[in-house]
Amino acid sequence: MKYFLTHLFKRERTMGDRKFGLDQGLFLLSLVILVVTVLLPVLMIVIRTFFKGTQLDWHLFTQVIMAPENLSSIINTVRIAFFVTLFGTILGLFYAWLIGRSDIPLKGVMKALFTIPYMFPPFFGAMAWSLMLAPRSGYVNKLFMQITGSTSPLLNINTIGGIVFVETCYYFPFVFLQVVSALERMDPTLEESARIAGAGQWYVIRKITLPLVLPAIAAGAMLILISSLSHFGVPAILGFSNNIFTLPTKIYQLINRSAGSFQGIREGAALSILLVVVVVAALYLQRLVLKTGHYDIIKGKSMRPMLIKLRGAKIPLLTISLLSLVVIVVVPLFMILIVGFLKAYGLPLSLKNLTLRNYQYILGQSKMVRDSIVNSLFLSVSSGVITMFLGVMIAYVVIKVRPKGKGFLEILSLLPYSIPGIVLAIGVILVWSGAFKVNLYNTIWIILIAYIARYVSFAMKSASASLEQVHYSLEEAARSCGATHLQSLRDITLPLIRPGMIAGFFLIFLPAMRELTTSVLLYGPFTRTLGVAIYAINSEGNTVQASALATVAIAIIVVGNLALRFITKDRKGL
Amino acid sequence: MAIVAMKDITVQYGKNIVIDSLSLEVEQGETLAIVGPSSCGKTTLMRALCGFIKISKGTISIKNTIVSSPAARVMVPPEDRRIGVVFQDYAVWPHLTVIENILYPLKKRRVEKNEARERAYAALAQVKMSDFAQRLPSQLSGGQQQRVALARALVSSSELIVLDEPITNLDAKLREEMAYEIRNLQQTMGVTIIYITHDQETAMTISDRMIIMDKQGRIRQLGKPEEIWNHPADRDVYTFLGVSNFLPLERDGRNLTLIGKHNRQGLQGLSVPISDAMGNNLLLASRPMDIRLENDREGIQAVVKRVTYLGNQFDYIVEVGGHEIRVQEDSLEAFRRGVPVEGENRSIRFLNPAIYEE
Amino acid sequence: MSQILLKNVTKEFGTRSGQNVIAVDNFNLTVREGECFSFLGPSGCGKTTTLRMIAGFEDLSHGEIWLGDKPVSIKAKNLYVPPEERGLGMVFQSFAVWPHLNVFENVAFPLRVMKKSRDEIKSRVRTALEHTDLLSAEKAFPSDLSGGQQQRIALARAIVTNPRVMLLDEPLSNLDPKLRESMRFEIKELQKKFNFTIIFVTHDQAEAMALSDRMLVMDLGRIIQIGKPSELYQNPENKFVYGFLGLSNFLKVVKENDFIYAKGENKTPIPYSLPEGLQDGEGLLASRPNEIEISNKEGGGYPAVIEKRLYMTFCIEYQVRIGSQVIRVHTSHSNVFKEGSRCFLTFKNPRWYEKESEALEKERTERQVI
Repeated sequence: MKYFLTHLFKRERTMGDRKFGLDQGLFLLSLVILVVTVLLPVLMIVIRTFFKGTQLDWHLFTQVIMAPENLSSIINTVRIAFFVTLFGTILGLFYAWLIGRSDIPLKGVMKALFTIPYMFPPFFGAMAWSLMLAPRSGYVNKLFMQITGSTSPLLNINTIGGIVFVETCYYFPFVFLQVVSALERMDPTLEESARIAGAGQWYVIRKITLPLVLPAIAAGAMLILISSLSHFGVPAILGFSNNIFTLPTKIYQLINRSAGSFQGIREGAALSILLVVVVVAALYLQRLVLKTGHYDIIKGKSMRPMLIKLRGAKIPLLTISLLSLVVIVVVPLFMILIVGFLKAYGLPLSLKNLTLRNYQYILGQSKMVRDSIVNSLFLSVSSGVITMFLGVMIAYVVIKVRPKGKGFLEILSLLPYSIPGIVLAIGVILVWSGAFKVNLYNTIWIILIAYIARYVSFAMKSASASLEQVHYSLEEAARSCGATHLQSLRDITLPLIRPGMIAGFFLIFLPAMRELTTSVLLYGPFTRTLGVAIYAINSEGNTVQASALATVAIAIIVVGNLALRFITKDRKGL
Repeated sequence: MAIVAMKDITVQYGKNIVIDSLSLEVEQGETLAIVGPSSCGKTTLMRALCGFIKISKGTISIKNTIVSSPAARVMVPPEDRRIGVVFQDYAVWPHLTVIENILYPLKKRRVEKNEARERAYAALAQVKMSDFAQRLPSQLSGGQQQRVALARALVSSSELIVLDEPITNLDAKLREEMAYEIRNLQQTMGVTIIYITHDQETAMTISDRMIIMDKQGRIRQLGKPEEIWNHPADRDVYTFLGVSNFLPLERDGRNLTLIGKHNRQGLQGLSVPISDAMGNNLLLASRPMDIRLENDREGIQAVVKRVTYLGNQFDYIVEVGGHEIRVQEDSLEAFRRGVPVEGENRSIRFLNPAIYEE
Repeated sequence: MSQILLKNVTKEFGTRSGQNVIAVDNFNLTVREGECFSFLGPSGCGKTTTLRMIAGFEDLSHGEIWLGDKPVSIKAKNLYVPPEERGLGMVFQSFAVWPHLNVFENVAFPLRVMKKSRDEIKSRVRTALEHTDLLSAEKAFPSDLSGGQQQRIALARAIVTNPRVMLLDEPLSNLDPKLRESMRFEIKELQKKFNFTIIFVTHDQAEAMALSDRMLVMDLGRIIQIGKPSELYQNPENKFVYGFLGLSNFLKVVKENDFIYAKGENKTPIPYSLPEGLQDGEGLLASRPNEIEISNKEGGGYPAVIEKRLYMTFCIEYQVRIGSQVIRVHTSHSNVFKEGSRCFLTFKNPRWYEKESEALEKERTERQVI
């Protein structure tokens, strides 16, 4: 291991042949693309907010921040994000520990099912829960009011509490997956040595296990926090009717209300900056927490960790887990499926009220829907392919070429990770609506550019992971066998990272297919995406059709995930 | 004929000088081992020779053709140097089968298909891996992968092969086997081998000549293994070659005195090579196996501090004039002569000592 | 008074392919108080599994384990005392030092669990650190220290509670050779000072022989031989033990009537006094390379041909051909013989062994991967 690491990070001069060869060209190309797609939007937001012409102007910024309705959306955003992170972390931690360290049965099944929420956009969940718990029309509430005769609903989903609940359901897997992975990789002798030293099971968890998985918990919690802060769909669907706004939805409202006027966009930009500030503050907090880290816990020998015997608690815990899985995963999906077959929303859920009409309409008659499916497919495939190649190129430059500007390149490529989708959308509008003599507003290309910027971080991370596994000696071996630099890349490096690239493609294709947050600001009359179409139909009140379309989207996502699983299983070599 | 010639080469990264004005010639058909502690620059030397890194000064020539020379602005890329390389981590390509791995260099050199297959299979047979031609590297053990790497290097160049710590990651038994095989191959094929390692034992066993490098990237000694073992150039080389004992001496003309912590003992009858050129503060160097413990009152007196039984030998810690040295004795011999007891007094005979300046 | 007793201890478990493997087979052992006792064997032989059963990390399939006069595992009665109540000290191969606690806190951990007072913790920890030469590193974190120092933290932590029994699971194999040697003796010193019993698991026979008062050799879950190191080395029970304890030659031989000769060779008898009651047939003649005398004087021993001469630092190795077989001889540098020349061997201390079935070696390799 030590040998591998010293060679990976040795500051060696590589075999750069000519002064301006392949490697240097790639570096420059990466730099240019990243600056244009990522840096420019961010800069434009800052400039347009704080500058009128060439003069510094705080006026707009302070005006927007201080407006009472904006202030309340700021407070809502932080409150919701805080609670979602809190509950999501607790839930994720509990289940991670249950599956990673106890002897509960059905682990494989539960682990697979717990990752399902990860696959679907949270706003589907919002739709589903709205179907059940909307204060007047939700099925559960209606049933409750019928049975008890009361005029107030059992639970109102159109509240902050409702938003927190739905987001928690969909974001807790972030912590769950990180902690389960950490527990699986942790050296079991770290806990065994504590047991031998006299500590009981719970003492060990408190003093040894928990502190050691803290980085994983923090990483997962940070993902939840940032996702919630940037999220549009759930507060949009659940909050609008009750005038509950968060920063992303407020930004959307500002821009929509002003019908795309420049002033409106400026105000939206001002609010975006605030959102970015909050996100950056959260990232900084995470760094502080993890700074005190001495956390090398990865084991060498593959020994099975000692499982904690649940004994009497086994059945109750198993029941709770399965029940929560049903509530979180099964029920919402079922609702969407059923309602998609209903003749009209509000009708009782019986066989005679089912029809295929909705599907006929959305797939057969609605041009808008057909277009949106085609648009989303086009956008997902092209952004997947483009970002994957971009990611590989950047990762190659950063990891193998290691030029002097690589730090800057790395930062640029990871920047979009911390910029909320709505903010990126605004930045892209500011850059590509004629500011530089190119006007792509209301075309599909502006959405493509935004997607590329949005997903380049994923692609970079995924490509880096693949490339790092290709040890430089594999390429050097090819060189010493007579292959030129280009040939060794083609014959050795590329085939070895190909499986990783394909997996990476799907990691972008899938979220892009169901994406809403970014395209909701960028779509034009003919360039709706699937997510936008579902959201728009739902907002217009065509609940049953929205559910049918959502089911179609779910089908596409499931097929895509199966394809991903199939491909990643079939990995040759590395 | 010198197949490789390095003249005054320096490799420098910023302020860090890894190799300093090193000159070296490799004779055709020999096995030359380059030995030194880790990060002494031996791998850097090999990478400079193969063309993976640039040198800052000097020239490297292969078969009288200059391949690296900053002054003449010559830097022949690795693919044109025709050196077969075996890397420390084998670097066998996981996505190609064993035979595809070996065919690759032949493809790159545009060897005709049938001839290429013949040569590849021949190389495979030489490393005794013919049955594994269609396997993937992930289905092979470490030792088997190493053999594939060796076959690939043999096919890459019939003249010069460089091996970088090729067997360090294998277990002891396999290490020995591979070392013999490498030596055999070299003798049957007449190829020149440059062998880089920190393991001086293996180097001694398989090389015709050895180079000992120090941590500053300089050559300390060059010669046949036996010469180096019998006459290490200085105390650092002596220490590097194996477990060593050093005792401080003082010289007065031809008389030597052992400087103990509390007393001094004269050393009579010690046949050591002392030249008059040496100073007066010297070190007596000896190997644990070349020291005998006797039961008489003659010679240097010592106390046995610790006796450890290791099966095939006994290991003693012996205190001489306050200094601790290590002595080893074959266990059969020890039982026959009487195993010492901890605390016992014995006298010491040095069978094959060397003298170095302090 | 016996300190550790294992009675008919057996451990079985099922592998992924559905088979049942008997990792430890009817293990019986009494370790006396104050002894340094080693379990020696190749990877996969069951020695670590046995140690973990003594520690309490694995349950038994069958049998009993007693510590002193207290039973800690009796399968038949379903008695199982968890590890934290067994009062043992343990050092792991991976050190298992907690990265988020500094040196002091690592060593103090067991005392904190026992809820000792602050003053007592301070003094006992300091004492343990003194004994392991770590006092100056008290406030450091493990990641800032070398492998050897981390191992000492593990030692200090294990001795701070003054256990009667210390379990060491290959504690030195992750250290470099020089350090391994010096740490061996540090452990022995600690034992002398504190007078605890040690069970030491290792695959390195030099280590086992250097450290142990008594030791056992394990193979495929069973104890093959127990005794003092010198007893085992001088009288190995079978081919496996012989081969495991040091460099060996196994010459395939055939016994006919009253003499033995090398298989595949003309029937030149090898001078060796056969053990009584031996059947005619094939067998192995085991010898150590350094226990064979070699000379080039005619009539000086059993004739053979020198095939290869290898220069080694501490000896010269001759690979000597006897018919179709090759054995190794180690002799001093002063004996220089040419490759291809005839030589004459005297076996100073050979032993006869039965051949071992091939299936055994195959099983050993499979066990390594489980």
